[in-house]
Amino acid sequence: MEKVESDVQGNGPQLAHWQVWRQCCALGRMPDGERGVLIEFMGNRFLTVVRRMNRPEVLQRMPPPRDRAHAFEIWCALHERREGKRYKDWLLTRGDRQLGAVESGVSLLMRKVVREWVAVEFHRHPQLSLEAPLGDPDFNLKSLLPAPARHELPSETRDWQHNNLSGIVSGMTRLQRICVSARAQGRVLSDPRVCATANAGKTKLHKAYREWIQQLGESIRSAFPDLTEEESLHFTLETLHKVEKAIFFDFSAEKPLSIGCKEP
Amino acid sequence: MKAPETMEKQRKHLQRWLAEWQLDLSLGDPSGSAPELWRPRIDFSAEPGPAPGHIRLWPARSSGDEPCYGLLLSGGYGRWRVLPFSGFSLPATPGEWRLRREGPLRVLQIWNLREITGPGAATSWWAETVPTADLFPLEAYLTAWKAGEIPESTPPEQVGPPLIHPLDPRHEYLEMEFERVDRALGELEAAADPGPGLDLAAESPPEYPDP
Repeated sequence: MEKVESDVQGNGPQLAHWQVWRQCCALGRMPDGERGVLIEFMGNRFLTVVRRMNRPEVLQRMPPPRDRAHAFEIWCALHERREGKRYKDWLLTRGDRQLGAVESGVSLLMRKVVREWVAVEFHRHPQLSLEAPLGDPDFNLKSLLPAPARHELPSETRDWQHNNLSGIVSGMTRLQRICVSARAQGRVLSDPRVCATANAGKTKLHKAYREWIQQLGESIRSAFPDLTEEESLHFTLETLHKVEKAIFFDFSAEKPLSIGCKEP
Repeated sequence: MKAPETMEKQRKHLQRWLAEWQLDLSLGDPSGSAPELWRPRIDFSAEPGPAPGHIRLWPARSSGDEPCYGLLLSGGYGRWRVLPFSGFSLPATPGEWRLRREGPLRVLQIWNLREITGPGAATSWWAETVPTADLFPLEAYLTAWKAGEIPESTPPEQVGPPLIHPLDPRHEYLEMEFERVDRALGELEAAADPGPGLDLAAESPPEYPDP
């Protein structure tokens, strides 16, 4: 195992080192002195990103600084020609164009370099299971990509949907309606047009949407405790689509929903 | 009905994408402090003018952002469509298209398409040109996707798996990517269509007397 170096910069690179690097087109063409300084800098930044992951097995297989710097150059270039290395033009024209701006730009790019290196070296065959929870205990790969329904849902579910749809829609707050409508249109909730219509920030919208979806799922589970997880998910998604349609068609056609919408 | 082997491929695809996403999250936020907004003053006059198929690099407008790579397609009336590149190796949703298998620019975000003005397109560095032959299938898919269809001939690995669950973690990715591209290209955009429906959803429905 290679000794892990200190992240202290010491006599780090100067702006001139980076300018030489851009002119020379590659580390390999730079004079030895300048090259060594940049290799050390890039190697340390690579290490800093890896340390953030807090994975000892990754730290133990750290390549030498020269290879880390090489990984940076190889990954960032689209191809060998000068125009494939436009990221260098960006680095040298960032912000106030001073050394700090170049160095923080290298750190930003290094994140993807490290991610790619870890993905290739350690994650070639991800071990996620179809049933393993994904951040939230409520869903896994099977629930994110459910198999098509194998048979019809019980007829009581249709009756429940028919009897409760108006109540579900009328119980929604203004924010929840906007969120459901935005998602139905394929918009993200941080879209400025969505936030402006709702007069709320994305965090508030996410919370409103998430709570409403969870509430819908819970209502269905408590009304039909005998449904399998898969059936319950299909029914929730189907009900969600009906709510989306109800909001869009009933409101845009100004047809009465025979309900009053609850204001927040 | 979806063939079982297609479902299996899509689940494996999603499994790999999610592993990459989780790896990305584990690397934390590189910027640390609150990002600072910039108005880059860069001379692009020596760059070749925008052309369909150009991969161009737009400088970031925030200290916390990487620059934004995008593919230019003609938008008509002097405007340009930009398909931003995702930083991931696989398409996340059916709205993403795998252009290549290797290198940092592999996946295009069709769903995140922006329409920008001519001057907006020119304030970027030209990096590469995608051959016209590679643009034909992309344009065909783009047209079909916008119409809400996915041609059956599309190989499952060419685009991402469907986004079904309303709380799927990919929604978080879409949000982040939308914001990233908005920060990079938002000011360059041509007048945006506000789109129907949202204002209506925000209104209270009129109250009608009981019959």
